[in-house]
Amino acid sequence: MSTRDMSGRPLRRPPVSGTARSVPVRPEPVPAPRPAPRSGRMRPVANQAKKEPLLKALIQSLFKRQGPISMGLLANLVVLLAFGLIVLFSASYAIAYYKFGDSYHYIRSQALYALVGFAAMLVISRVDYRLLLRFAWPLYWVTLILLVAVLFMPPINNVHRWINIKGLPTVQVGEIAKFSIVLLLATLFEKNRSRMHNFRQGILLPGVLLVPMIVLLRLEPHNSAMILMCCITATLMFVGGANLMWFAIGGGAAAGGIALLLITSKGYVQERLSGWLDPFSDVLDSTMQTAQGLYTIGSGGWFGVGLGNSTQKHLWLSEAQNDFIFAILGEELGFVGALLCIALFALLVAQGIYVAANAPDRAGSLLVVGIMAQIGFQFFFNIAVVTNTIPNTGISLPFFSSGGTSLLLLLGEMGVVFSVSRAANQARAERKAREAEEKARQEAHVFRADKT
Amino acid sequence: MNKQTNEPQSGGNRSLKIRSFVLLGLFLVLGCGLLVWRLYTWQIVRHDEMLNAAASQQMKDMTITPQRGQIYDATGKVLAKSSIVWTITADPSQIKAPSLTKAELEAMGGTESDESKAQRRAARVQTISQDLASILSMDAQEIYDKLIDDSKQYVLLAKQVDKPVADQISQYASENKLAIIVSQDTKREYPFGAFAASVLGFMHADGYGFYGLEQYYEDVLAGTPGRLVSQRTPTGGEVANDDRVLYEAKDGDNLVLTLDAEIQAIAEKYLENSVKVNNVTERGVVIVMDVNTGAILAMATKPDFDPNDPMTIYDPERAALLEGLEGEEYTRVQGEERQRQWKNKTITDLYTPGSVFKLVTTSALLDSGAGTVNSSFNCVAGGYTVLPGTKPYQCADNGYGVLGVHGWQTPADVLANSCNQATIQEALLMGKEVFSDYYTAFGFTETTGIDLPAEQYPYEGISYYPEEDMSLIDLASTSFGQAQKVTPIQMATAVCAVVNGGYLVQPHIVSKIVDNDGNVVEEFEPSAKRQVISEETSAALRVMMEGVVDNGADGAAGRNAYVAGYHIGGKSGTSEKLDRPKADDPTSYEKVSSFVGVVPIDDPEILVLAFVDEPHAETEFGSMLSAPLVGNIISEVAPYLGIETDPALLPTGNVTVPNLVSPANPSYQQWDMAQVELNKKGFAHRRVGTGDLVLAQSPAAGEKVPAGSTVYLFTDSADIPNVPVPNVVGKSAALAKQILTAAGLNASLSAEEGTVTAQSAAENTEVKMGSVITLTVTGAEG
Repeated sequence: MSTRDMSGRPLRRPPVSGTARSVPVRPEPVPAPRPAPRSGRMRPVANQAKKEPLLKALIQSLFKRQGPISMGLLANLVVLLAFGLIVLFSASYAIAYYKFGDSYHYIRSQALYALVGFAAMLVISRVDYRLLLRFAWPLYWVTLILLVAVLFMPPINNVHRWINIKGLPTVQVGEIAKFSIVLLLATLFEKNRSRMHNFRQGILLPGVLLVPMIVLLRLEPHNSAMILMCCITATLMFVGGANLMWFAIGGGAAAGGIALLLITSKGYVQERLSGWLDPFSDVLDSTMQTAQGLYTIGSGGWFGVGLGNSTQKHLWLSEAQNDFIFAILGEELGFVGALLCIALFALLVAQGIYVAANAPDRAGSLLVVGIMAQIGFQFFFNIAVVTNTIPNTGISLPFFSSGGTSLLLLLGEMGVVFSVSRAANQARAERKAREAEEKARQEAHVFRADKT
Repeated sequence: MNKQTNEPQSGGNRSLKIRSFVLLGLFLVLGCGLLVWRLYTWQIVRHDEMLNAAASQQMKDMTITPQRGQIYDATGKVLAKSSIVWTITADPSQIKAPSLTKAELEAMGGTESDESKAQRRAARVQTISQDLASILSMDAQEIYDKLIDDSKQYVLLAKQVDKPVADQISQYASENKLAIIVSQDTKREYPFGAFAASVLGFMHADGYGFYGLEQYYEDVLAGTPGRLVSQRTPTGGEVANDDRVLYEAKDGDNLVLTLDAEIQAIAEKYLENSVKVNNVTERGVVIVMDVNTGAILAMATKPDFDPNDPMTIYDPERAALLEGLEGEEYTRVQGEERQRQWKNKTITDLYTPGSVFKLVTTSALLDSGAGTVNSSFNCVAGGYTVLPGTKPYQCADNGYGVLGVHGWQTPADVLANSCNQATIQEALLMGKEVFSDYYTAFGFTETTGIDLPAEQYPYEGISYYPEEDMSLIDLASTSFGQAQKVTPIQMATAVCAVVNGGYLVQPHIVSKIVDNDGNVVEEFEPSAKRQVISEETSAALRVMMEGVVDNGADGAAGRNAYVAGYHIGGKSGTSEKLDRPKADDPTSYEKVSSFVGVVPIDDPEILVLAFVDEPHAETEFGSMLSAPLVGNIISEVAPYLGIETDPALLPTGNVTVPNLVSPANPSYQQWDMAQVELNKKGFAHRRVGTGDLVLAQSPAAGEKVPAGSTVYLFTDSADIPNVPVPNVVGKSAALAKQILTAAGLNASLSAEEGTVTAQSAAENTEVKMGSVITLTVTGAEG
């Protein structure tokens, strides 16, 4: 980790917003000890902020001196983002040309969203994530309202997934719901940290909060978002400290429920299931996309046909710019390219978990874990679908698949991750400074003792 | 470690960290591991299988049609050409209902029923059909019916579309993103229509030559197809990338014929007329051939067909046979009738050559030394009996039921009289061994090998009698052409050998093969297969043949083939088809009426052979039906080819114009017979109108006009039209004559050379067409 902040100034001394207990020799007045011992190492900034107007706190936090951003994570993200844009352009220009007569149709808006999203991410990284926790409940309710509202929006492809208002970019509410549940659970699990092993706090509460969203998503219908929501929630419950036994029972029940749903479902879902078992059984119709995806990815071999040289993207593979973009990557860059992509995602998640592990508080950890779970599961499910490891569910690949608002939200969430990482880095820097001081003092003491 | 970091609360933190790292581990090991394993399975283990599946669906293998070679006549006129046309096809399954706007979909309550979708698709197809119909000039309903079926992936909308239309369609398709494919094709065109049809042949609908030269020279004309292997999109488009492999097509080479369209047109004109006015039921043929090279200058069979549309039955009488037929019977008869009209009768039909064959027998007699020009043979009343107990051979009657009795004759007389009895004696004199040798040498036991398909191969027992099996009766009947059946091209080739010094030439119709850049790929040198008779024998025969025509003298058998000024030799033939009794008179047989003429016979250049099969006219003699046909053809072809006239054979001074107006015309009333009369007397002729009978003539009968004047024959109306007189004063005599001839007038010159100083009719006066304008010519040249 770098010991420099964004401006490159070395962190010689702890910032003004340092922890109360850290440096006894600080000139600032030491705040009174907190009455509630279980609030633990909660940062004083947040405590102060609670008394200040929210907007003012937000703006102030932007200009406060903060810990440095995690450069490794940022570098990896930039690489992934650039990689994603390159692959998207290659995968989308053919279909863009055939459909719109403009090869740049997809890449142009995606690149624009990526730029805007990246800038937003950097800004958000300076926002103290603890301020965001205050939005947890309001965001949850707003999300529920949006999930209801979206059912009355004009459908796209016969499903009601998008906030679809003429003249505005379409927004998938499912994407908002994912962050919404992450934020809320992070907030609650921090508050209930000592009671997480209870059934009520660890299992029932998150379940109750999740169910309305799942039901509403089912009505859209949006199966892939439902699955992801469940996975994210389960991850947060697990990491948040839910009793493993309850967790196992609840997880088992959920898995059983999903299985039951899939088995009893008629038509669409059933068709996708049987198509999964034999992807080449109906290549002209129901398994066409899966089969074409496998032809595509299988055509790649070790090193692929070369960037830009895919033939399958010429209308053979549907959604080549979206859910099946990884297949084009596999065709053009081969097994080696696919491994590189997997490695980048694996590294991103690992870096995220490292941030989470070093977060100054549980809320920060859980936020990052939730966001990483979202990215990780989406990544996993997407490639699993393309390789026919699981039935075709229609999950996009983060940073790669075409979709501006989705990318924007994703980068915003990464901003939150970086916000946590700044705090983590700061805390670490403080700790190091404190340890150095301690050591110096002890050495001085020893020296003095030796003298005496 | 600092005590603060080991606070009790951090127990929860540690659990969080541990659980996070456990999940991360699971993610990395199980999740990513699973994905890597799956990727390995598809990308490495099943790579070939997937690649093949993808490649096979993507491969677009297109044949590029080469441009078929053209066929040119000897003078460079295009007789058959290929042009590039376009074929329009569509994929109805890709024509979908237009996508709905959000508002429209909302109005439907969010989802759309299949029924409504189908309705909207139908509406779109309707619009497309109307647009396409207006571009293609087709019926919109027809297109609609093809496009509405969305289960189809391929329908043919239009074939042989021209470039501007094809371009419009392409543009329309791309503007509207329609799966309409415009592909290149070639179309074969025969600009002259029903002209030399049986020689040129025609194309099968599948694009290969089916008959005639088109079939025989298929390999030359067709060229080599190219191939384009590329990758395609599911909608049939081509993916533009490096995997495109193009093998250019090699266009076909062009044929240049020996056939001359001008001569062909003359031959067809007279043959068509003859077939019509003489009610010929089994068609007629004309061959015009260079006797020294075997080059075919014209080869006609009438009635024929239009190779642009060979499937229609063109002869109304034959087409009538199909009426009332149904099903298989209809198909069978239709097939037979098509075959019939397509056949090139000059090479595919066996016919009984009749007395024309006597030329061969006479040649053999003289050349073998069995007889000389002075030998004599007797023809007596009661006929000639070859074998005791068999029916005696008689000579033909004179047309009035009186059998010919010719008395003692030299071989020249035998030919002039066309005496059967004497010809039999000639054959018996040389014996069947010698006769058979010559028969074979003249090429009657083999095909001529002309470069046309389906030449009839000679049959033993029909076309020839092998020497060991030949009876004397066979020999006798064969000697005057009544026992054997040969093809017209065999007969023509044999007569060429008779007159050209004895060389059996190779008849051919293609003179060279030329590629598209004008390079000669192959040239056919004239070749003689062998010398059949000596120069001397040939010379003797030429004299005899001229005697048959005898400069058009009354009573000469070949007089009707005479054209004044030319040395013309010939021989007529009338044979009975003993297997074809007449329907209305079972005691007599259908006839084959033929004539062969050679001009100039003293130094032979061209041969004209004509025969009509089963004529039903007042007379069925070759001398009366086919000789006029040959004469009329020579009267136009000889001047066209610039064959020199012999001034000794041309009348001079003023000549009385004969009466040619029906019914005063003493021969046969028809215009062609009127022309024969003019041919003999050294007049030029021009027919005005399309009728059969001469209704008026100009100059009038009895008028004395300069020799060589043109007599105008009016066949549509008895009214003679007026023409304005051009001014020729000041012009040279020869030029003035040409100008007047071109204006439809005749000229009477006061002197052959000099300048015209006066003309009998003033400029722009209206005079009757064909009038003689007297020109005063003064001041000889120099």
